[in-house]
Amino acid sequence: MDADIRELTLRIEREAEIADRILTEAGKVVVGQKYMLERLLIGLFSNGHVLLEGVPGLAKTLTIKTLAATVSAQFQRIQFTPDLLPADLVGTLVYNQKDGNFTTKKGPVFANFVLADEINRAPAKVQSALLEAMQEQQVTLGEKTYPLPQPFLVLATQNPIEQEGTYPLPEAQVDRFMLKVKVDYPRREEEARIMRTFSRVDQPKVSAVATADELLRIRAMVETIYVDPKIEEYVLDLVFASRQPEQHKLPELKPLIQYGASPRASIFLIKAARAHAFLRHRGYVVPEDIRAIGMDVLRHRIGITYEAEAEEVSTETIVEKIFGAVEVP
Amino acid sequence: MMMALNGLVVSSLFAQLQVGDPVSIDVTLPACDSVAVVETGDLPLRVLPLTQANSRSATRRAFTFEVALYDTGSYVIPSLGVVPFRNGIPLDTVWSGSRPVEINSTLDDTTTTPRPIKPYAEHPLRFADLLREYWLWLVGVIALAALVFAWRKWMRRAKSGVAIAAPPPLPPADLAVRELIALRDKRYPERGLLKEHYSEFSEVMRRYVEGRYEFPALEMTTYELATEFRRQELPACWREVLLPILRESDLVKFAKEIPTLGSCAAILETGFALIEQTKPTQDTAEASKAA
Repeated sequence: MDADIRELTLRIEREAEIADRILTEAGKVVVGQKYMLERLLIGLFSNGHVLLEGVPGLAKTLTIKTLAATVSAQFQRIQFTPDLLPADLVGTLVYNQKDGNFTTKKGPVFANFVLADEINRAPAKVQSALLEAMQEQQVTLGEKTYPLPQPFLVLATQNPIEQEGTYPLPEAQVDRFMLKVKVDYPRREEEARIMRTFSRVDQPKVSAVATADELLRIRAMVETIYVDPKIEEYVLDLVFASRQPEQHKLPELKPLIQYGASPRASIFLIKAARAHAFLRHRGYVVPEDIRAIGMDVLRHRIGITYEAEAEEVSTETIVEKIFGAVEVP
Repeated sequence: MMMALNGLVVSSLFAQLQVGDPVSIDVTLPACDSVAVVETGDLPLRVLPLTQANSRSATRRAFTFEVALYDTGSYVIPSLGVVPFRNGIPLDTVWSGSRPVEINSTLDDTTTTPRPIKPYAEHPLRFADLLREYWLWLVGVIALAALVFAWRKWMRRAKSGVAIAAPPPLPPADLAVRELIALRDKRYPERGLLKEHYSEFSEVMRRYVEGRYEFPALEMTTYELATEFRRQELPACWREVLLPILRESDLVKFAKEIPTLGSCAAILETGFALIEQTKPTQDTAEASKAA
């Protein structure tokens, strides 16, 4: 192995201990859901926002709150409702009668971790305000622009059922989330543990085991993880297969795909794969990393046609087919 | 048919009129120079100009009326009086009696049975007419069909020619051995192309596994291959011999690992040995054919 990569791997093995600490601490409260926790950490370490989707009661909110509690950083939870206004989120200017001036009142978005609970329950203008803050990492109030604190991470949840009275996120805005994680029901033995743990009076609590500075340090380290040109080619093959499936031995997907993954997909595949390699204590990315995070990066970036909907072909099926057809380097 | 009524003769159809129908009333009068019509009440008839008159000495005169009501229903024509004049002196007025009439609508009753506003147009479709109208199109379609037929025939002939020319596919083991020999002949390690050597070796072995066990090994990562070897319960040599080489190969390919020339040669030898060890024997080949 190259000396730089070997040295980086050694450093990562030391620093990844923080990630293990966070996972262990969160595991006291969150039973099972290791996959979801890992994805949240990937978002945390690669500066990418995460959207969690699942039916009610799968500990989406609990997991995010617990993860935020394991890091000593500011945490804000915003319950998205139909009557929420952009000012309730980003803040506003308040007139001060005493001195006749306007003072700035910053909104809850000024925090390290922002939990946007049930993001699809608020109207488009509120979603836009949040998603703009996510993209720009700054908020403008009046004539002044305020940078958001670092690390800044938005973890949003949405419910796939009860579509009545919701405002589905437009494709362009879903694209800003690095990962869209589908949360599934726990296994039987996990549910038994959940039942026992949460039916007790003294419920477990977590304490902060990492600091915001440590997170920033890990982020900087993750960015240096080596990605070989072969891996980059593999990522490009995957993304282009979603755009021109007929050129990648997948002509049957052509009528099912309305639009393929955007260039953001390529960027996020590499970023998330680096974070995944970090969690596996490696200083370099292997195809396994791409495969591991590929579904969560691509599933919300591929649009399906009416034909696909009629045939009940989901984006997950399409992504699986692409991964099954593109040769691993 | 006419009927006399107090000296007036009225059309027998008078009782069943439609809006706008003309009505004739013939008047039988004593000899006179002129006449005057005396109208009483609201007459639903419009008196038209005198259309027919006898000479002065005649005693019959004809008046034409037109039904002037445009609302259907039952009406009563009041008495109609005609005053004859002789030498400017009026004679006795001749009166008709009042008479009920029924004014019917000129439109048909469409409330019971619907019918088109206009009658159906008759357009008999005849082949001769079509031919005259579209003969150019017909010629075009026939020419196109002939072209498609010829093209398909040509394609089928071309395809069958290729199939005859194509050599039969090599068994996976023979193909893999050939590819490994070709890789050895390329002498990548001697030229410093270590990454290419490991990449091609990994590809050859994956292709062999894919052909030998019929699962998409080329599209699988090393970890996925390991899982598949376990799941399919393949011979232990795959897990114990090939997987470590593939892991080492991953390091060379993705982590800039620099292998020695010795290990480059060793993996080739291991590859030949693995293929020899795992290639189907005649018995297993026949069994798989039978299956």
